Amino acid sequence: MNTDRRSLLKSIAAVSAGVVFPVTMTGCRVADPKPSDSVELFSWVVMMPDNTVRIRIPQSDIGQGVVTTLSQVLAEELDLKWSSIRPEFFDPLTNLKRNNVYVYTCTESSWSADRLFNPMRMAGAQIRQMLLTAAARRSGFDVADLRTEESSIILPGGGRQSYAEVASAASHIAPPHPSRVKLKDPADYRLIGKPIKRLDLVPKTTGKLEYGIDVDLPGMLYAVVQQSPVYGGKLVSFDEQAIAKMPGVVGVVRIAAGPCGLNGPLADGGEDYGMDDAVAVVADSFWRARKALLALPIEWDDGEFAYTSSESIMADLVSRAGRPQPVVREAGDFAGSIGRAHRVIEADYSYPFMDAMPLEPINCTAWLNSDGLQVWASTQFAQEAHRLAAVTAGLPPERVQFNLPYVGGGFGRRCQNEYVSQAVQIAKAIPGKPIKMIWTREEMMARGYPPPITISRFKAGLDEKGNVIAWFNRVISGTAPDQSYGPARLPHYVPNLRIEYARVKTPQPFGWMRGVAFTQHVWMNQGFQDELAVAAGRDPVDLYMDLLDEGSVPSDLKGRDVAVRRIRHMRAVLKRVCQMAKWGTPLPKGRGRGISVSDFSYWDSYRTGTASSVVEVTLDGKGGLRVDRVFAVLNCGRILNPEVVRGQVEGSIFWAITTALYGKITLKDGRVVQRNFQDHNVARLATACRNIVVELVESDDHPAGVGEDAVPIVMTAMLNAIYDAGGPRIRSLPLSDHVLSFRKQDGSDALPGKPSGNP
Amino acid sequence: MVQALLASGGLHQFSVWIIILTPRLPRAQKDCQFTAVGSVCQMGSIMMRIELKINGSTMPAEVDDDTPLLWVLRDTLKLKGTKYGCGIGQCGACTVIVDGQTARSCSLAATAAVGLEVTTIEGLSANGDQFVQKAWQDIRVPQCGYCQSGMIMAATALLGKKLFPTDEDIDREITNICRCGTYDRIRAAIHAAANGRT
Ligand code: FES
Ligand code: FES
Repeated sequence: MNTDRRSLLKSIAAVSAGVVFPVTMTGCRVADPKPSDSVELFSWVVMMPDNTVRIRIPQSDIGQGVVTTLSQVLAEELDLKWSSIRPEFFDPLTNLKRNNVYVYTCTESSWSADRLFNPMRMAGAQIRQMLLTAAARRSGFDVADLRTEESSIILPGGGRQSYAEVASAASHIAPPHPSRVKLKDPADYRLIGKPIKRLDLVPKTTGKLEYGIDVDLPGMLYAVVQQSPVYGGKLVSFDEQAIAKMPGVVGVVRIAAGPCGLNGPLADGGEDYGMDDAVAVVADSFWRARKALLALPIEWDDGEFAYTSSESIMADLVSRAGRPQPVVREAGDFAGSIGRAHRVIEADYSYPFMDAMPLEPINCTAWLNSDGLQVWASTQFAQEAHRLAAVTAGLPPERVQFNLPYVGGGFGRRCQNEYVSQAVQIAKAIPGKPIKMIWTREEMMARGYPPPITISRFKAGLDEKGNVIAWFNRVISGTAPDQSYGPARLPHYVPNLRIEYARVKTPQPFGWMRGVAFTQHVWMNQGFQDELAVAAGRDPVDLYMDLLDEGSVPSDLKGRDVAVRRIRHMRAVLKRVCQMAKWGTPLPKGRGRGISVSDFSYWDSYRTGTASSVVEVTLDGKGGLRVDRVFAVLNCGRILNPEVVRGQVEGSIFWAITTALYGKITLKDGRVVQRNFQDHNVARLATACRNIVVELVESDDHPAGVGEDAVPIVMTAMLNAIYDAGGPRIRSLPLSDHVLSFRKQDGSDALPGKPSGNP
Repeated sequence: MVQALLASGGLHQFSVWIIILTPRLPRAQKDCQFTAVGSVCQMGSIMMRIELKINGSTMPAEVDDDTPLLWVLRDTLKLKGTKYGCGIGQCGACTVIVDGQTARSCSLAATAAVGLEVTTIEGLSANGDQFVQKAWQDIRVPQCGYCQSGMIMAATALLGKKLFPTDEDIDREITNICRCGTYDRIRAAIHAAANGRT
């Protein structure tokens, strides 16, 4: 046995990933087979003989409740009995074979409601027509004489046929063309908009819900990985003999760098690279694999970023901020008007690297056998995970089965799928055995996908009345897609304006994080606007209302109606939050209020809600800060489930508090300094605000995203409140790097206004 | 043979179990490289056969003496309701109740739990109707749900010690992490559970 194990160890170590091992063992397929007498209708639902209905959910459930809300949408038009619904996650292979029948399968950008509200209502209505047609044929009545309710067809005279009875006949009927299907009048909705309890509520309180990390297969082995600790580093060698005698160790696998599986192949034919070389130790338990990996000597070539740190990056950004950069938006004559301004205000804001840190550690289970490849992973993008798994295994997509479990938090981190590639590479090296790969928390923190480190330099001119007549903003950020919309697509139309934007390459691959570029730019923009209001001696609400002026939108602007609608929505939520928070009423010394308003419609097709927030804080003058109250108003269009939406706003509030208090990842010598939660705290019950008030605006507009809007506005309001309470002006994060004492007598900041190379 | 002390303030402000382990004598000598029992292996770990009392049943397990209870629960005994989040006692996803006190099972050697009563989320009820679970459902606490086993165990232990915990009690005793941000509802659910218990 020892000899066998050692030779396996050697052979695994000797080959690099990419060599296809012969498949040596067969295993049974684990995917739940469809019961033979069930009937699938139009890809979206499966009618079971007991009249329960499986609804295919084309998104990952990362806590945002899509299993429930999307079931509400489809079941509304299909007239399903709510208690008969058994949701299941979609199968990426089916979606691939059927030409993207599930329409939108990437769980990102808070898009599930926006992208699936119409398709899933329509699918429900079409399937209902199919069932009605089948029932009409069977009963001899006219379709027009039939009704549906609670998963049944009601015949004239009151006779009933269950959906299950006619499902088989209906499956042979072609779905009607959407133009011939009439959707319900929203006034008749009995599911959409109702505060229905989540379908998975009880199993989320009993520990019975299965996440990716809970997958358990017969004969399963465990893998623990370490990627190059320096971003962009290469694996030189490792000494597997050093751990060969450790108990339970099966082998060491070399994992090759490659695409991280974020967006699939890019338009230019390239891939999103983001995964570096890695080493995996495989053992008969997680604990043994982890111990052996810690004991394994590994030599890395640290590559081009070996000496790069957050400090050196920030110094570079600051120096670039001193030079002109490409202009992304311009109006009027900034240079001339700033010369005529009554007052000129300047400030530099900066934003550090951050990490999304979902609570379920990254994991993936892969099993390669003669049937093909099976993969399980908690991911936000199962379709891409399936593609990447097939490419990595060198198998045609039909031979890869991807199973999507529940996801223990995403927040953008799981839009990437590099862990799927890693697990498949390991499974290829040890064919026949299911391999569950689990990242340690330390590995997660070492290998995050941060939003870009950013510096934002502002200069604005005020006239005698305190109106903003000139606005300049130069932004330089680290590796990211074009996020110039953050500084450029302000809802304001200041007459003289110049926005510059540039990016530099930084070590980590980019990642979307809850709140996306808005968390940086809404805060920076409105933190600076708050400074302008203070300088002009004006109430910030007064200044915002002035800036949010329909009349200032140029008459020849392309998409003027959108610009006007944005302004109207923002003014409305701003007004409402002022009422709720009794804005303007006096507060005792040491307490302060901040306010913010924004939408996420900076980017054209990014339809999410509009939100406004007031935050109240107390400073004790000795550095202590308490968030006393948070008010938030959200207009997200039609509300699919108010309790789910509320939960998303509440979650965003605590996300904002964590980001403000602790959000920072530091690079030193190309590697992340923070190792685990002891180095990167997050809000907990003691630090979370105890008093939050959330209000949702009733609306008939198309449903918009709800998961992120409150993040930037709550953070901005909180940081502005610190100044209002007598504290320093916060221009860099996190707060835990600042001393929150009261400002000096002369009113000058307790802290220098410019980032001192300390992001 | 094994002592476990509840030390508050051991690791920052969090309650952690400090384990004083007196090594046990191996019962049998066998090959130490695979699933050997009781042999002294590299890195000083000893393979042991232990019996744990979990949710009222006695469960035998073969473990390396340094294996945290968390991994014995999850991977050996297949009780997967207890979650891994950080492995260092910070996040509380792995919280179980040991003799009435919360313990972070990632930081408690399984061997240290021998002879003690361990309760996991699976031991609270068969159908999710224990009073804390019911309050969690009424207030609709979970979002992704990943932290909630640990939260419910921590809340159950707190409510076992105190009939009506105050907000300050909750802040001090429940130091678990929820990344989805369900804190407001967790607080409300603990109060609801206290008021609603019969
Ligand atoms: S896993 Fe035990 S405290 Fe985080
Ligand atoms: S509900 Fe997701 S971490 Fe708490």
